[in-house]
Amino acid sequence: MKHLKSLNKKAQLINKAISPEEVEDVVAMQTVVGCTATTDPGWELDPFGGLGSLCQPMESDLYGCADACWWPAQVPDTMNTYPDWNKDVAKANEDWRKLDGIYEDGE
Amino acid sequence: MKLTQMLKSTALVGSLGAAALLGAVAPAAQAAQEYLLTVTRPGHLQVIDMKTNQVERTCEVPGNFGSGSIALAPDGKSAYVLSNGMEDVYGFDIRSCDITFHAAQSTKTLKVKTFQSVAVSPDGKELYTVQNPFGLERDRFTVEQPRLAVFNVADGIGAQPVRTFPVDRRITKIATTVQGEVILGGGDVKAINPKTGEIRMVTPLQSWDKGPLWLPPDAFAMHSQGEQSNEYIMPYVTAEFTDESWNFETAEWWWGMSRVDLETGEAERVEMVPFEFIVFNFISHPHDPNILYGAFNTLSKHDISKKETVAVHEMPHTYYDLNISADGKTIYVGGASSDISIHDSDTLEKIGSIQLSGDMSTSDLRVATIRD
Repeated sequence: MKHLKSLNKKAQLINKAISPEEVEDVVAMQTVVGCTATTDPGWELDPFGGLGSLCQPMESDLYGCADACWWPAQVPDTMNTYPDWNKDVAKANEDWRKLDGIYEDGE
Repeated sequence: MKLTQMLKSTALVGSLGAAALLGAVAPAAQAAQEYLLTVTRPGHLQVIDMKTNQVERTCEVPGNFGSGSIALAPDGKSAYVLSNGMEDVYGFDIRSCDITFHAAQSTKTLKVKTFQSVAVSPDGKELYTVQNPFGLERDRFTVEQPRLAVFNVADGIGAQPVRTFPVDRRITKIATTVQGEVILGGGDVKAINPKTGEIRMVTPLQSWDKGPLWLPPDAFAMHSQGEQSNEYIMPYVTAEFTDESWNFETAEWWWGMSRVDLETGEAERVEMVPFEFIVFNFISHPHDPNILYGAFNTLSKHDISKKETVAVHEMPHTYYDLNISADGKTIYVGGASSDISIHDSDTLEKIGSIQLSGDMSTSDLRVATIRD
């Protein structure tokens, strides 16, 4: 990097950001609130390391995770990115077969 | 409702005879009527008569589904729903489904999300949201300061904030006290004066100081309820360790709560029962603050004076939230899927069910009480 020179403001910001002394400490969130904030277990394993305290069945919890973009890696984020993913399926437990995956290439 | 209004009009302009007629029907007309409110996909505010447990009215909510967060007007006649990807607030007259209020919080250059945070002032004249704005630049987003936004309800359709005040990040559900403060549930539970912006600590959570043997609390407050006890509950999980080695295996795990009395604005924070299973939301019995009910994969009953879970009823699927009738006899368990499960508050046995036209997802389950 020492042979590269920042030419514009954005590049200077990037240089500044990668300077270790400029990086703020990352602090774990103990209070779970809001979109994509959660690192709590809950989709694959419950807090006890088992399955009994997961949401059951998955269809009951599906829209609760999608609408709040709670687990955007596992469930499409209908708040921001894929608002129409489930627009024709009012009840996930009845019509879950109509729900498709997300394919970035549109296929 | 129309008949009642007609009788009132007759009494106002009519003879003594008409006034006497009104008096004869007044006791029945003035009995409090409770309505259970929730929002279902794709965008319906469901108004359920709690006498018959039937859906009495379904109001169309414009915009994409939001979170189903509902704030109640104090007279129970209006409900405010967070819609359109958690960006817009719509106000409804629940007696007619008329839309009386709309605030679009985002602009072309500023996206504003509200994570559940909607509340109405005790006089019903102001509506509060916590706005989480971010700028839409051509090549990047900019993170902006969260703020409490104050709207005049009377501004109706197209309302804009009349005041804003900076607040902490990560605030979810909010509520108003009788004194007019707005309770802000975030890392700590704080209260803001919506006239001046002055903020006070109500009860600390992340910044609590319980000593080195206590795990900092993990709190969760996604759903607004508590209107039947005029209270705000922020539940949390914590652990008390045997020593400073912090052995999670030997620690005592607890459900705790910060409970704000919305009559006084004062809070209690207690570790109430052992943490044995997940509960998404707790409500108190309206006539006994020591009795709490919790909902998730189980409906549970807890006596916090004894720090005991006294009854557990297994549910057929996950429910996120619950509410209770004013007489304390009937519990409604909802959220998540498309049915509300009705239970006896003494035994927790299921006594009925309400099938809805769509999933409730993260929607609130609230009780609006109309007294005339």
